[in-house]
Amino acid sequence: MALLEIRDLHTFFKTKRGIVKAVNGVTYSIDQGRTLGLVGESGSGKSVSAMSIIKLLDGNGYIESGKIIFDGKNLADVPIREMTHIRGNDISVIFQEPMTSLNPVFTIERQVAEPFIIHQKMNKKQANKEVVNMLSLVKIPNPESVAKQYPHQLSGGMRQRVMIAMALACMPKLLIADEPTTALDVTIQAQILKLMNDLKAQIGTSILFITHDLGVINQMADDVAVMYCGQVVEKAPRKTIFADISKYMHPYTEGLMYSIPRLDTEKGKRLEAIPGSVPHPLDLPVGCKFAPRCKYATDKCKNEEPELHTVESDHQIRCFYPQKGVRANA
Amino acid sequence: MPKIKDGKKVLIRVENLKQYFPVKKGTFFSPEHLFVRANEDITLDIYEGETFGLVGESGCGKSTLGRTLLQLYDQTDGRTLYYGRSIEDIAPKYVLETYKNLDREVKELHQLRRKENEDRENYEKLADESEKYKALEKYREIEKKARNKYLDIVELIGGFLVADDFSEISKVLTSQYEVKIQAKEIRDKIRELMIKVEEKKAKGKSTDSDNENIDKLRKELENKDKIIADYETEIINLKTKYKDHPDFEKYESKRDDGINLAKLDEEEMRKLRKDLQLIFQDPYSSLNPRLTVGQIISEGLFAHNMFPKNSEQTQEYILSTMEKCGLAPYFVHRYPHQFSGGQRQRIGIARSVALSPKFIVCDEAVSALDVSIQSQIINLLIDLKEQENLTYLFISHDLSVIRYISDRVGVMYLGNIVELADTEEIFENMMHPYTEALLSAIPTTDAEGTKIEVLEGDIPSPIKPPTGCKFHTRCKYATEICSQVQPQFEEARPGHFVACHHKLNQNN
Repeated sequence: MALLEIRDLHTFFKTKRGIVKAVNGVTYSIDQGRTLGLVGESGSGKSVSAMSIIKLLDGNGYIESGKIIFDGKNLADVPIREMTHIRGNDISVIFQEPMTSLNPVFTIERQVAEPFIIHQKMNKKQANKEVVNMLSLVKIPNPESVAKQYPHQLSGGMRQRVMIAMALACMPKLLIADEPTTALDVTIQAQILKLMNDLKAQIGTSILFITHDLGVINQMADDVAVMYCGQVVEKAPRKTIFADISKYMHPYTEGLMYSIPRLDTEKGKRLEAIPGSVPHPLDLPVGCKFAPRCKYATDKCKNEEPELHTVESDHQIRCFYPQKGVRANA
Repeated sequence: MPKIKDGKKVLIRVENLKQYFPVKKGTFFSPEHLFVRANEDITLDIYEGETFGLVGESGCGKSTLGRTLLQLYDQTDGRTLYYGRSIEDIAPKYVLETYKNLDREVKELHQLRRKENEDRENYEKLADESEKYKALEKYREIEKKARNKYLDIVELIGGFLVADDFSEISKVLTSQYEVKIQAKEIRDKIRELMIKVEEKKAKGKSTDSDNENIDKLRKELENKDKIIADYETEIINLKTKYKDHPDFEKYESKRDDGINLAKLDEEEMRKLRKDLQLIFQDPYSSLNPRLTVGQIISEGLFAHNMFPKNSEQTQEYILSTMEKCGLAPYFVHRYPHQFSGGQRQRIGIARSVALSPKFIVCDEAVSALDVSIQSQIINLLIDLKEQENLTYLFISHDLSVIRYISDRVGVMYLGNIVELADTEEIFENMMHPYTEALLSAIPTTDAEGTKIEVLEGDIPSPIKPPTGCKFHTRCKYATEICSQVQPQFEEARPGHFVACHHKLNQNN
């Protein structure tokens, strides 16, 4: 059974100029002990869909409809007050900016001890002992002295390790990692990714991993969901998404794969850029959301919206022409 | 005469460039004066028409290098030569100073040479290992200083360096150069007046008096050119006196008319900024929110007296530049906040390209953009390079982008270039352990999911970098010598430079 199941989720934001449908009918699920990679550009709704799970939405944001079933319970119905029992306990988050997500005026010890004191009712002394254990679990050298330091005394990689230690303190069932390595250098990113994979194997936590970097997804995820304009446009196991021989692929995923240079891109070969840019959330196209930028788009695409449908077992695509090579204008 | 190397024209030559930023002044109790050593001893040539990629982690000094090349920072030490213009074009004052004080300059050179010899002898005498290492570092330092001084002088006077008495040489060269400066000022004046004439024409005003002035100045310029030619014959005659000296030819061949950007004053550099442009990372903060696209693009054109204000011709030029950069003509009156990130980056690019520069530093020009927009901007940069004959210094932390766009690549670590070679060579036969580690750290989109190799540890502080090879604290191949002696940046294979005591792939 799935640990987390999101069914037809709609998360909207009220703004002066209208309602922004940031998440518009999203469905995905994560099984126990697996990692779901959520890919997409900025504004695709990947972070909002994840923050809806723990209700960390801005004041003008609300869940319009849909279900978020976590461990048999619909979180969409749980009032915010009760969410505090779940946050940091059953579900925790690692944010992108380790610089801004740690409190600069408290020591590492005090911040990492918080979940132990709140959720596990430990006293300060016990909690502080646990903090040192956690810091050494995330491979921070000299955990005793780092515990007494303030965030500004640590490097970016070390701060991200502290964030991970804090997130894993109560051994959560689900860990949401929102672009955890985007702000880090490649060599540090490699360290953090390895650490996360090791810890996942050790603790058995499920991970919802959000990133715009396909390479990182390939490294981390078991399953992949590609998002565009508040919708999932493609969903499949990692191996299917990244296999060159795969028969089906959403044109947007294809664009993402081939538009950015990869280490093996032939030199001098022109990049197949996706033309145009992501549409404004208040001015979405009528038919398929990707149609205005899609080189295969037909009149049908511009007028009707395709459903997310199954093309092969466990491979779903939101496109009228999901098969590579037999698309309309190919 | 531009410098030619291996059949390629050098556009920018950097020699022993250093860029330090002071962080803490020494006090009575802790007399040490601390610096961030952002760039240390960087030597490289950038050829005309190439894209030189600079890659490294944050804090390695790649952006600092880009900006120091453009003299946006006061270069701490070393030489940065620019071959896109001749010395006569700019007539910088530092040349005059060298001519005037030739005698003193050459004396200083001899002093440095003596010191260099002393230090070398001292180093060779030593037996003890660590003492010897220290002496070697000291000797190399003074050797660099002496070489730079020598080049500063010989590039300007060539074979005259063999002379014993410089008073006569100094006098002739100084007099000729003074006239050259005057000629250059007249040329500037003429250009300025011509733009003014265009502006007045556009407004329907009379331009007779300006036209008269221009004619007068042109005559004056002819005069000056004659005087310069007269001095030239005098110089040639003077040279025959030294021709038979055994070293004359050697020195004469070192003559070079690159402009040493590090020695220009602010005003001289400002004039050259037209040639040397920068494209920033963040398209949001690099555009003035109060100017329209048209104003942003035209600002530089007017500052450099390239076009008259309020004329058809200028408007047309701005629109054609916008078109080249993929911006629709009706955008011209819009403000930056009305555009998306990718379009803003296009505006930034149009602003640079409008000045028809020769060299552009692209400082993480695509890093802040969404993946689907990145490729649009990369394609645009490649097209513009071909159309406009540009040379790029492309700075990025993204190895895939660097590999795709660059002809040659330099890898930086903690202020040094540790490896430099043709793109294919560096990716296929990397010789520095850091390059190897960097490459294996990148997650690929290969279905098999290649195994990532993890480089342990953090980047050390550039204020107190490790001794010897700066990478030795994280390097799995490091040995005793690595922590003691800084490896030389040397050509291990033709065109492939590397600074390492234990080079990889040596036998390929």
